[in-house]
Amino acid sequence: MPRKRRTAAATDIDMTPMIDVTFQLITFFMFTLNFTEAEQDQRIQLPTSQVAKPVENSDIEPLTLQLMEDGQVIYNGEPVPLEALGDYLENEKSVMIAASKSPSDATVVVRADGRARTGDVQLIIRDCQAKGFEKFVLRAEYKGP
Amino acid sequence: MGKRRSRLASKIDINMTPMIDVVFQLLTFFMLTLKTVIVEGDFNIKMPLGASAGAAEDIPLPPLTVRMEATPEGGLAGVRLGERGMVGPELLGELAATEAAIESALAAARTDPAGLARARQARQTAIDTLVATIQAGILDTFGDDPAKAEDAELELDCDPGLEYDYVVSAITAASGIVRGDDVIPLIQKIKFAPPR
Repeated sequence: MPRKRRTAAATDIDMTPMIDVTFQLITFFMFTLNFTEAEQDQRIQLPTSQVAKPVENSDIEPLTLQLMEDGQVIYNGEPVPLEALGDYLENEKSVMIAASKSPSDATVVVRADGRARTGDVQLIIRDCQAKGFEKFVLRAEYKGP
Repeated sequence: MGKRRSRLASKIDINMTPMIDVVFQLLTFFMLTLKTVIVEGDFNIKMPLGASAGAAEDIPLPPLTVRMEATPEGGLAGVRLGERGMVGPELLGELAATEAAIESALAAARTDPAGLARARQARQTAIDTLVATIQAGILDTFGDDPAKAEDAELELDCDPGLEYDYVVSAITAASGIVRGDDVIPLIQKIKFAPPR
């Protein structure tokens, strides 16, 4: 037993390279950390495009509506049938008006699955128009040229 | 002086263990919060309700219409730009050419390996034809001067059953031509026709 302790004291591992590498790793992960709460849902498979413009961040929080392949809309993380979307939009509208903002200034981000029906996308846009939303953005996955 | 310092340095043994503990905690935290975010892009669509009549005043040209017809499965059955002739199944291929068709072919790939390649090929043909039709039509309309197209407006008139992927392909084709690393911008104002 005493012999063992002596060997432990004698072997002096040089920690410096390991700490160097660890700090490098920490720095890397710190810089790749993004706080942007990007509303990306695994249930949506966006269509790809080569010429989509980079996403712009506006002052007013955009309203994100995600259309799944089966025609349901993900609103605040919960799947909602397309027919019921109007009520949720009405809510959204009254929240905006209470905050003295107009729905026409807000952007509606439509993240629709590539396999969804075009008619459903049009229905979403029509429902939003009925509540006074005017600016729409169709989101696609960017695949550089 | 130097002698004293060197003696001190050899004496004081900093205990690294707590620091390494904390450093590894941090490393674990940053590793676990790492999110791979796919790069996304936007297409702006401005569609105020009932403003189609008013909007016509500041746009000198009537909107170009892209009509897209769908097969019952959601594939592309035909595409037409403005008053030009409909490009139909003879160029688009006879298969359904949908993402769904590719997925079912993927499921059946073990028994029918050629089916997957056929489904992908059919889809690629449909998209290539769609892109070529729209871009050729736009360039033809504006006399091969893409700069003129930037002020124009495009209206998408689609069958409701059409797969949304085709709409994005059509918007992509209409908003720019990719030449190598550059993109020549075309029509920037895009809207949907009223639903059918």
